[in-house]
Amino acid sequence: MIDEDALLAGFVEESQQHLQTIEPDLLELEKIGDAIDSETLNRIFRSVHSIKGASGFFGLQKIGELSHAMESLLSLLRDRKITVFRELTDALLAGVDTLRAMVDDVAGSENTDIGSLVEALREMHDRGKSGGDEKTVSLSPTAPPISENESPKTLVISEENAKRFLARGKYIYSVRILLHEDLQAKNRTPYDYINEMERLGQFVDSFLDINQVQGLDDCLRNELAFNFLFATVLDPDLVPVALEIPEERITVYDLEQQMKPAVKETVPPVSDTAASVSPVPLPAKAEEYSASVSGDNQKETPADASDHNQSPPEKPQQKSERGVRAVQTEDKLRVGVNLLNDLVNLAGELVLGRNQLMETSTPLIKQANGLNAVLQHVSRITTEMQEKVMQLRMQPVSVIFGKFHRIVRDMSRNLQKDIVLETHGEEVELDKSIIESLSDPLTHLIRNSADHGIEAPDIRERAGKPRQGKIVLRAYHEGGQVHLAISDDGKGIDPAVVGKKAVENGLVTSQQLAAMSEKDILKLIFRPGFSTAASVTSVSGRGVGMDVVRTNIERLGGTVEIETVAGKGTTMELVLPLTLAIVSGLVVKMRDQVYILPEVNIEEMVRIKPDEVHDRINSVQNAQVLRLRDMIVPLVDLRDVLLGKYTGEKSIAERVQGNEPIRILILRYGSGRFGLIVDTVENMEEIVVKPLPQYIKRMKCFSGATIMGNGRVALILDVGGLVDKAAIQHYEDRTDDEAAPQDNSREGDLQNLLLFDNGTEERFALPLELITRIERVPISQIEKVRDKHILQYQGENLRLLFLEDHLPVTRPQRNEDDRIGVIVPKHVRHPMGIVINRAIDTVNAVVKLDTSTIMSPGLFGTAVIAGKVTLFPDMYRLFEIAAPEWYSGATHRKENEKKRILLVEDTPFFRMIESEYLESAGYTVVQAENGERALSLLAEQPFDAMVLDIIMPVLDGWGVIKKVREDPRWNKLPVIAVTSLGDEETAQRGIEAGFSDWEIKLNKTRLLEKLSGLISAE
Amino acid sequence: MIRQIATFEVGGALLGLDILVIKEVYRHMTLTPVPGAPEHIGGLMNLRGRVVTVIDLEVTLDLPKRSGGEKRLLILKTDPEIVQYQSRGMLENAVLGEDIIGLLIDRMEEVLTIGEDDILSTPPNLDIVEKKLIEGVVKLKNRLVILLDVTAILKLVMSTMENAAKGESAV
Repeated sequence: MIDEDALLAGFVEESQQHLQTIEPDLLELEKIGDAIDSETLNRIFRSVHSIKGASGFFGLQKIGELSHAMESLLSLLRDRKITVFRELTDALLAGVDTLRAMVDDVAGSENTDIGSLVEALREMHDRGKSGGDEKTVSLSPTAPPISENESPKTLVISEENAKRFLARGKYIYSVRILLHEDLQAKNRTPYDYINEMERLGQFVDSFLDINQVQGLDDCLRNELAFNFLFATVLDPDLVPVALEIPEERITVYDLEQQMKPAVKETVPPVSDTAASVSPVPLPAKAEEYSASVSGDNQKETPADASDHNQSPPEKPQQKSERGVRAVQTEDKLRVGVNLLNDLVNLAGELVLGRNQLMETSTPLIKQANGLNAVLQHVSRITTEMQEKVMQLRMQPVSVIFGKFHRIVRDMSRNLQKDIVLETHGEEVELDKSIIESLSDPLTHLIRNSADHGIEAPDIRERAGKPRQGKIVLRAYHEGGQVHLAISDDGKGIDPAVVGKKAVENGLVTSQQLAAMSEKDILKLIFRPGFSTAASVTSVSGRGVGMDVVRTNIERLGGTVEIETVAGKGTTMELVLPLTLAIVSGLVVKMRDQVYILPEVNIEEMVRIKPDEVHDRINSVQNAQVLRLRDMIVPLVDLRDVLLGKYTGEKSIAERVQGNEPIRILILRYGSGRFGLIVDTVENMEEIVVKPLPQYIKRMKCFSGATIMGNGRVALILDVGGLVDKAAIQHYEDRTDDEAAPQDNSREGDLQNLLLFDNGTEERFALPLELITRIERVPISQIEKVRDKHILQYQGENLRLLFLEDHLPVTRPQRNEDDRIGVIVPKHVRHPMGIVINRAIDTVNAVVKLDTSTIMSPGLFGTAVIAGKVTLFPDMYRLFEIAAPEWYSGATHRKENEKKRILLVEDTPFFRMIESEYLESAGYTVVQAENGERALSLLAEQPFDAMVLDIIMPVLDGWGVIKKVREDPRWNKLPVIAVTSLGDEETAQRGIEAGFSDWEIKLNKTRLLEKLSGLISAE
Repeated sequence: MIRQIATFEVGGALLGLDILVIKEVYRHMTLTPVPGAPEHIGGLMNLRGRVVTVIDLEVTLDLPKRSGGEKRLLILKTDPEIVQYQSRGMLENAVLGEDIIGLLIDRMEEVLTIGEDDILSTPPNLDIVEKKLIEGVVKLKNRLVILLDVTAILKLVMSTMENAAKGESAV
């Protein structure tokens, strides 16, 4: 027996399905107007009608009232009494929306305000009805007038209709059914029941006897009576059998007798044409009558188009010669998702069992005659069965495609654009769970296309495109995956706009942007915090960004790609696995245990021979990075992550010692990648994913488990979890500077650098501007005075600084008779030198400084220079650390603390270095990356001085100084130019333009001195 | 009420569990270790296509490690499988969870049929196993059977796992 909740749930589910079919049909109706075929119209009518009928069972008056109003209007349409017009389809679509909302929240549906909508529908209905020739008659003996606000309490049939039924030799019955006794107890849902009735005749009107019913709960609890009016050719004798309702609750109505109820024993209705279609005398046996009924149906259908065929339209094949009932079960069977999931699991286990069987019995094949054939047979059947079972969970994408027509229609209205949506490949199937999770991302992408992609009609026309924009949604199979492409013929995405936005939102710096390819720039739209919507419209721009789309797709094991041509349009391509239950994974080994890496995360495999390790793998602090073409990829050893020891360097060394090649899987996660070192890589396998037990679930590194062919459990690695646990923070794409296209004309892009090493793997760089020369001396010349190392140099005692003493770098082995290099810096008050092994090269390179991977006082950060990870020491800071006694009194930190300096510099490298200098002297530093930004900051906040670069984008130093000096608020502000333009002539021009002073880049001491002098002069 | 207690040996101790919570005793097992998990988890095992979480009782009960020797696996029932007893007033407080759990033991001993009165409260001097994991003891002629509180043991393992996972994110 169906319990009450299930009964209601069934109603909700079926109503939702009906609503789903109505919508596209209504859109079709809107599109082609009166040319619509009767079949479609009937389908709409049927669906609304069914909802109305079933809602009656539950006392859902509002749903009933609205669907009734819609149905009436639709009946006029169906009978071609009115023509299609815009307000009509609008009202009907609004009706569908409201119904959907009410069905989704059945319990609250009675509180929905449907008044104006119902009124609009009724008004249209009344207008459409010609004259008022149609009288409704009430068939209840105590018929009260139908008031506007009340749903009909009596059964109503128009006199015309009643006559029509009778004219075709039909009987009209009033049937009273009891919810518990007739439905629940017999395991039927209201929809089942109505469908069944509709096969036997025509459902005319219904009402629920709800005098005592207070609400939905009450309705389910009490024994409710449901009254309906039913027109059929069935003989009074047969109706009780056919409907499975006791005789005493069925009454035959006789119109001739002026609406007086007639008991079924009374004479059948008389009518002038009755003879021509008089009911065949029917034997009382059920199986025979059903055959007769279907025969009768066929006779009737062509005779009168408006009296639509009586089987539900979704199941047109029901008009078979055999009984209608039998056909229904053949067609479709509803099965619970739980049962399906169980079946899927069992099928997975069966495959496993088969694999084990094959493994154990293969050696026996030669001894046992016929065993091989049996095994092959079992194997084949198992594979086939698994495939079929997997298909059970598959649903066509049309399930979600349908709603997009509506979305696009509504959007084109709201946006006053002309957009048409084309869909292809609706039959392509995907796993149910994937389909469900796809709905939101796809909606977002389609909204984006309509809102941001497709232009307004006038603009399109001017661009030589048709006024109507087109969005194409296409699904297709390729390479065992499902591709979903959303294309529009709109304006495309302009990388320049994206780049500008990304810089404005602080996602990248203008420097980084300049080094990016168009493709990479486009990918910025997937970053959190990015939104290209110039204005937030009501339609899209709802705060859900493309980053959410990408995250959702990746969660499903899929990927998103953009392709765009300016002016031509954009295509977003989603690639998805067919199912989540079976994934393709790479089997890898770590300490003899097998693990699975989902294939979707794997970008490539790299194998590094022991003798290449030195060239390919750089060791930076305790982190290992792999040089892969133009990328720097952080490395993680699976042993370390899983066993929780972070001994990356050691494990690589171990592997090299054991003369093993290093096997690295390059894994993609989010927008970054990293390399995972594993012991061995086995094969790719299709695995059945099983959820992790509760006890293991919290462990980050695993996302599931599977059972391998040998019967052992293997854990599936979760790439996100590995990233988390290994604390790989900097896995965002990093590319080599040389690889990126450069604009070399700008001052800020290139730095002259001295590359050197310290007798270890690590490489270092210092800006050449800071260095006077490099001395080479034997170690034996270094004198040790207490804890200080001193070198006699040009008559001075040069104090030496060892990098390994102050930075997190490897300590070199130095022999007594080695020679070392000493960097003698410029611009220092106290003679100091930095000990190095040797200078490698000087380069002119773009520095993209990474300040967060390795952080240490005395280190600006790291960057990739000439293909190697290179450390950038902060020389002045190192001196302060190494010789605090020389520097402690040198700055007037206290005084400076309240001083605010505006630092204007477009190159991040210099901006950072200068800011570091200023802050070390105690100043509060506010940074601006161009002149325009500087002026706006200047207008907002007070500053004591400005440090200004000359060559900058947007507004350069000359422009800034002009504006500043013109403005009475700032004409006294001290402004120092800090630039690499060092010639006297330019400096002179600078002073004339209004700069307080002119300083060459990177002399810390001089800059601070001049600044302090200027501020105190103020 | 008459109860049947399955007794078994782990790390030299004689332990017992109500036979109603036991699904089967499994002999041939290949465990897949779960790296990073506390030692309480002996690993994962495939039992006819389902993943079994194996609990190492020696670690969980802090019993002396017995090296070598073939182990057995006591497979426990799950909550849905004991509902029938609970509706009849048996195993009322037992919570076994939805996952299949296997307990690693050294070997099975006899099954005792006892009355509720035969279960004595834990003597204060019993210190082989922590008291909160014990339901009571049953006195045999010359030995004492420690009746385990399986719900408490599972809870302990779960909270150990949770703490380990928390520690994991703190790294």
